[in-house]
Amino acid sequence: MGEVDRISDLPEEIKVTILSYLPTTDAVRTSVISRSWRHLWTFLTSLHAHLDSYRQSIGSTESFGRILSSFRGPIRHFSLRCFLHDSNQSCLQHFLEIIFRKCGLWALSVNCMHLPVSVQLPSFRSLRDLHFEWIDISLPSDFGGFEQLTSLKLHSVWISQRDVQLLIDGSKKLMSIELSIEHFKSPEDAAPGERPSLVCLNCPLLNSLRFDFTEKNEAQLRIISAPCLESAHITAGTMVSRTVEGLIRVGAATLNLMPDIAHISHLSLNSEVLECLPFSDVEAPVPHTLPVHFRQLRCLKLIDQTCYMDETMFRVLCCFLRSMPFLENFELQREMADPLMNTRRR
Amino acid sequence: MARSSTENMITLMSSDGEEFMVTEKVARECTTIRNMLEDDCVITNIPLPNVTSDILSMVIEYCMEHVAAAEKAAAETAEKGSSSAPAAAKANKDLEEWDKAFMNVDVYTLCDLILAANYLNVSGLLDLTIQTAANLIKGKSPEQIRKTFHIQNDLSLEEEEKIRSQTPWAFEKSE
Repeated sequence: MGEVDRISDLPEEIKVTILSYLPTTDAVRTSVISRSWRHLWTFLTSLHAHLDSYRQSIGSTESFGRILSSFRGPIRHFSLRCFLHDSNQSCLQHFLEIIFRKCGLWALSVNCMHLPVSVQLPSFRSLRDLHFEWIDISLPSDFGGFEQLTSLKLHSVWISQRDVQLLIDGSKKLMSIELSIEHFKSPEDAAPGERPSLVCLNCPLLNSLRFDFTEKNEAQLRIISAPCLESAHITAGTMVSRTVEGLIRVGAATLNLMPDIAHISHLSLNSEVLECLPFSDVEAPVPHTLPVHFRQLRCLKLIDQTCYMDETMFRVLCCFLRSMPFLENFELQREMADPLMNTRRR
Repeated sequence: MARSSTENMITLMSSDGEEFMVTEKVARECTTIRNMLEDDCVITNIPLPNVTSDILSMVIEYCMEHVAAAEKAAAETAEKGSSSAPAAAKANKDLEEWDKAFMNVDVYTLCDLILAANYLNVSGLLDLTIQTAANLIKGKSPEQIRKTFHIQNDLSLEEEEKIRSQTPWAFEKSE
């Protein structure tokens, strides 16, 4: 056989497919292999990268923008994990503008790894998946919604209630929502008494929901309509206020999941949510009932982060389980084993 | 190769004239052949002028293994009413192991298999071979990649330096 270079003779589209299976750094590095590999990577349509302005040179961050501009066609998938120090933070906005000008983005995922960066999200027309972590988000004043968006994941983000609501209301095809908002920014023109953290869901196709509320953000959720909702994962941070007022407020938020919560078949909650249910602070042994019956619920998963399950909590749990007549599977996930709390089925 | 006499047999002929008898089910794993069979159902002899006999025999080996695995999984599901998750996971893992062993080939064979999988449109095999080629590039220096695939570097030192200086992001260590 000898030293025959078979791979360079493969058709270009096959070589580009091989590059598409690589992290973007590896793909771009192939540009110096030989002349025929020189521009191959510019035919890629997706980019998965890591940018660290603490360890890499300034030129390196600047060249990343040039790399984005070099892509011949639209960038369909863009995913970036970055550590950006203050002097570099504006580059993220610059990168998004470059991608926006190319049109045709389907999936956008950016994680700023605990160093939040401010971004004004361009109106990507064809966006289907949006996943932001550790980002301070704002929407353009002429935001017209994401018509094609099916999946929205916002973790540890800073955003105003107005913008979250605009995002959700402007994306009618949403099937999956994950929200854990680090901080609700208060708009400058907020009316006194206006609740800055209530998120309303009116999503005809929503199938799966994850929602996290913490004392810090005081997030509240209300489902106006979500007829396709099948699974919900709701957690309250351990910092949830334990005052009676706090309990009622958060508890009410949980139960505001009505009316469509009755349709779901999979529900997972952490124990803090359970403590927030309205009957959990009632001392009298009156027959507790929930205002909602989970008639479709087949799987319940309870994540217990507290180390004890006292009698009151046990009663609350039993009452909770009674509202789920068709429960098939109950999973209790906890750090400490407790012989008192074996799975009970109804 | 036939498991029952009622199964249709198809003859595939390689570029060097060797004939391979396979069941229609195995042949249908190749989308290109499936389309031919759907256009003309009486066809029994298919010449494949782009595929040599050693590569064709490997493609057939791959298709037979995957057809057998799918048949076994279907039979188990039919028997028990529903497939048991641990058994299915084990079968998947076994097939993955088989694929991995099957990919223990030199880079010439790998490139020929990519071309054949692309021509015959065997999506599973194309994915497997492309992934294998990508793994040979991943994390390697340009010099190592040239060596692995016997690529002649026709860039001058100045040209190479210029490319590197245009895209330093790709050439600096970030982790």
